[in-house]
Amino acid sequence: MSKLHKLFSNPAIEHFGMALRIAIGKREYGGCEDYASLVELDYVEKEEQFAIVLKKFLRRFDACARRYEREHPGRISFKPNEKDLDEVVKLAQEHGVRLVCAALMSHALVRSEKGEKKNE
Amino acid sequence: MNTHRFIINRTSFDMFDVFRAYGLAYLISGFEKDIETKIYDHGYVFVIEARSELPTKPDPKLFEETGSAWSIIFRTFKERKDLKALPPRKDAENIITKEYTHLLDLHRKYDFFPQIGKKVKDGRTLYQTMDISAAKGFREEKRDVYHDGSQIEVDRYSWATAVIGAAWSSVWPQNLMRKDVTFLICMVPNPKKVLLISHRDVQNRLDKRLCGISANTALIHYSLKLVQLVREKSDEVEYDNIIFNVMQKTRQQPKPGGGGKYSLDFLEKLAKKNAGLYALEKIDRHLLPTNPRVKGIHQNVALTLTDFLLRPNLENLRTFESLYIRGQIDKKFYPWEKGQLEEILNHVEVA
Repeated sequence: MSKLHKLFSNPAIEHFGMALRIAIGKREYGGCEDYASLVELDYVEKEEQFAIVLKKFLRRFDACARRYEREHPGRISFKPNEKDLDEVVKLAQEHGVRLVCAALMSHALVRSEKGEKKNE
Repeated sequence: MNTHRFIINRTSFDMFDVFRAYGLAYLISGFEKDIETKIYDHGYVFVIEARSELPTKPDPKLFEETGSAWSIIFRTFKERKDLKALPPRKDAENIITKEYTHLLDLHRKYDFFPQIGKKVKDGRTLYQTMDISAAKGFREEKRDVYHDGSQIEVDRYSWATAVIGAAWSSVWPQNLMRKDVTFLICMVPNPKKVLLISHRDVQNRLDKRLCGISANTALIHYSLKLVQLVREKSDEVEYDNIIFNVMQKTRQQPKPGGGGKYSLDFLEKLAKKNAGLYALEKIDRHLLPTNPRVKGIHQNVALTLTDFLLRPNLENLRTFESLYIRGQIDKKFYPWEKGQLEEILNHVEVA
């Protein structure tokens, strides 16, 4: 199994990847059209920059999740938790930012699972 | 049952060697009798084994029209009324028909090497369509005064054998013969272990309309299609790489545009698992358009995907992903199935 494959299967990466997939989706399909995070993740290279990019992404995603919950009363939007964040940062330190970003982006390319927007 | 063994010694002309191997196998097997003929690549030689009584003359069908292959191979030959020599296609037929048994006997010897040089006694010109490195002036330094460069000649037996191989085993994508496509590409799979009849079956079934955005996209598209078909017949047909030659169209004769070998290793690894095979199907059907005029994101994705499949490393994957995701947002591309993408990522080279 390659390094990239291992990262792709990591639950924390999966959760962040799912969040990215939701974030870049069109508004009419429940997404947030957050292309800024996509571009930032595309170009980030250093660990410090990566932490800042993740922070910005989470802030935007949080706003998006709150809007979703407001527009769909009774539903709870999916959010990656703090443990996931720690794990992703740790993986970036261990394997390098570019590899982690590639794994995250790969998840964004994957077909959404049914009812993904809701928190299980 | 008698087993006959023939040898094709390798020269430094990869495509010429492969054409000779296929050519000899075709000369032995023909189309009518379908003698069980196998080609093995042993590195420095190709071994051709035939299990049956050998014919005493070649199958006349070998010299018949094969779509457009003959005319492409001898594209640079201009027929003139005052020409004393036979046209090359007739010439090959003549050599093979008259000296069939001698030609086969020569290839039984382990020490038979093709004679190659500027002048070979009773030799024939090695056309650039049979190996790009035989193109005029490809090997020569030119200074001060322009000259076309010299041609290469080979002995007539090796030449005639290669001509048959080129006519029946070379792949010239049909849709790239259009005037607006600026290049010509010729491909042939290197026979690692091939039963000739199965090879013919695979080649007949293969859809030869390829992605003509660039020579590389055509090469990758052909390789993808081939790997998918060969998977069903893996015990009878095994190819290890694709040998390709590229020529640039000009108003006169096509000029050499490079060539090489593309290893099928990565694609074969993918095709071993179902998820990988579905990923290859998706790429084949949706991501490599056969219309060479396609523009925009479809063109860019095809080019970056080709780069990735040629060199499956992290940088190329990121470039492809980055473009694909933008197309996906605009609903130009479908999202990937998780298992398919997972299988691709499993074989990405990470430094």
